[in-house]
Amino acid sequence: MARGEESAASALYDRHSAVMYGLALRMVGEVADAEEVVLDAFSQAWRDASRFETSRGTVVGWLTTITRTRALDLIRARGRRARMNDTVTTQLDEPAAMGQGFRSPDLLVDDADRAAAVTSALGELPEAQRRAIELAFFEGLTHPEVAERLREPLGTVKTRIRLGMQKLRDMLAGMAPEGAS
Amino acid sequence: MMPLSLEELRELAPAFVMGTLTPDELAQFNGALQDAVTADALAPEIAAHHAAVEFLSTERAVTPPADLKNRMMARIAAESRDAAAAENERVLLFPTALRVEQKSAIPPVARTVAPGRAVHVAPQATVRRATKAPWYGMGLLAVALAAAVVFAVDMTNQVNALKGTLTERDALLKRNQARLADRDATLNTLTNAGANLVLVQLAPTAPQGPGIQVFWNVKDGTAVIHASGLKQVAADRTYCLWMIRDGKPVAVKLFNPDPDGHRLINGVELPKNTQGIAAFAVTEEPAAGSPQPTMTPFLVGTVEAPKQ
Repeated sequence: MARGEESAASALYDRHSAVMYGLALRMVGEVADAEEVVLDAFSQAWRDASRFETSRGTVVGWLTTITRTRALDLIRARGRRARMNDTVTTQLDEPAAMGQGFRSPDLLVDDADRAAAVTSALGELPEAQRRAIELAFFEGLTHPEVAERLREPLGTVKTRIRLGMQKLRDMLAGMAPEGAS
Repeated sequence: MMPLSLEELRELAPAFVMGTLTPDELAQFNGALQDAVTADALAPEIAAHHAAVEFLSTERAVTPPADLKNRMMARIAAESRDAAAAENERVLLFPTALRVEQKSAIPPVARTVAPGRAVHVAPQATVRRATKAPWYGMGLLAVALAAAVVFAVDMTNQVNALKGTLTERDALLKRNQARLADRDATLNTLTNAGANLVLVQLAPTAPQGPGIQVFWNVKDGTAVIHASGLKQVAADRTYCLWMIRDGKPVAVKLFNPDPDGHRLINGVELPKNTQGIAAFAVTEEPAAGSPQPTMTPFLVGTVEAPKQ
């Protein structure tokens, strides 16, 4: 893809679009916005492919950073948080991993396994840690904003997020991240 | 501003990786990373948080709409064409520079000078050829032809890029139209019912919990379901709305909440009379549904006949 080959962009999309779309959907909450985030993210990845260094991280990590940044930009640009709680929107009729596009069964199984592992790991965190991490990660709230939302002291929130992230990493350490491609 | 201690930096590290530091925190964190000892001390923790963030991102894979890939490829193709057009334009504007770059016989110094000066350092042989009138005329003609071709290619690229943009806008318009149609359908269900609108409030069986409202247009036999406060379910699970008719549960609709726990569903088919229907209930079931509830409903609401 670093050579500007469109077929490489196509392969990258096939491999990672479901995870990035799921992440975008979880963050921005609306289908149309999530689609824009994914379009922007993959277009940017294609433009910036020559700058990606495999020694500094995995492809999925790189794509995650781009997708999250785009999603956070969108959340912040649209006047953000109140809407995350108040808006009623229509949504996909299909459950997760059962959308309209075609994906190979292998990829679906891989994604489902990984998602189940992450969901399980999140479920094993104490509720307070899990909630704080979800607010920071999926809604893009800063520490003070998480503290305000949860009505907890700032220091408590920082500690909970840090401990929760460490536990997550420990629990998921045995599972290989999505392969670089 | 007091520099942060290593422990304070460690507490900020997750938000640094997630991109959710406040501007002040980010400035302090970046400042601290300038110190090699601090950066080394934080590196393992930052790497661990990066790994956790990477895994968190895979928490829910959702296959995107089929047309999204086509739109992405169209956008990339349009960007490629724009880049190619920009390169063609550069060639058109600086043809001398291009020729100088391509002449391997020209001394290196000629390749590094500005385009306008390159002609003055060209090899003697080139200068001699340039003095021959027929070749000079043909050269001008070739340049004019090349310019015409480049202009035509550029125009074609611009038209193609515009077509790509138009396709994207069309897709956006269609999605918005579909959304408006959904809203219209919801309004029609609610407003056309007149006195035949039955509202069933499904209350949680536990003290705290989610809620569901069923707006049942008995006249048309359709309903709008509004859910709120629902937790996400695993990828292989779904919620099911049941209708209790003649004492037996009948599955009405499988659904999953939006990421914020809400869900609005319109066009749900229900009977055109309330006879025998005592209540609605909600359970969690396998994604493919179930002929019978597999758990005790956690939301229940009784049906009252419409007031005539």
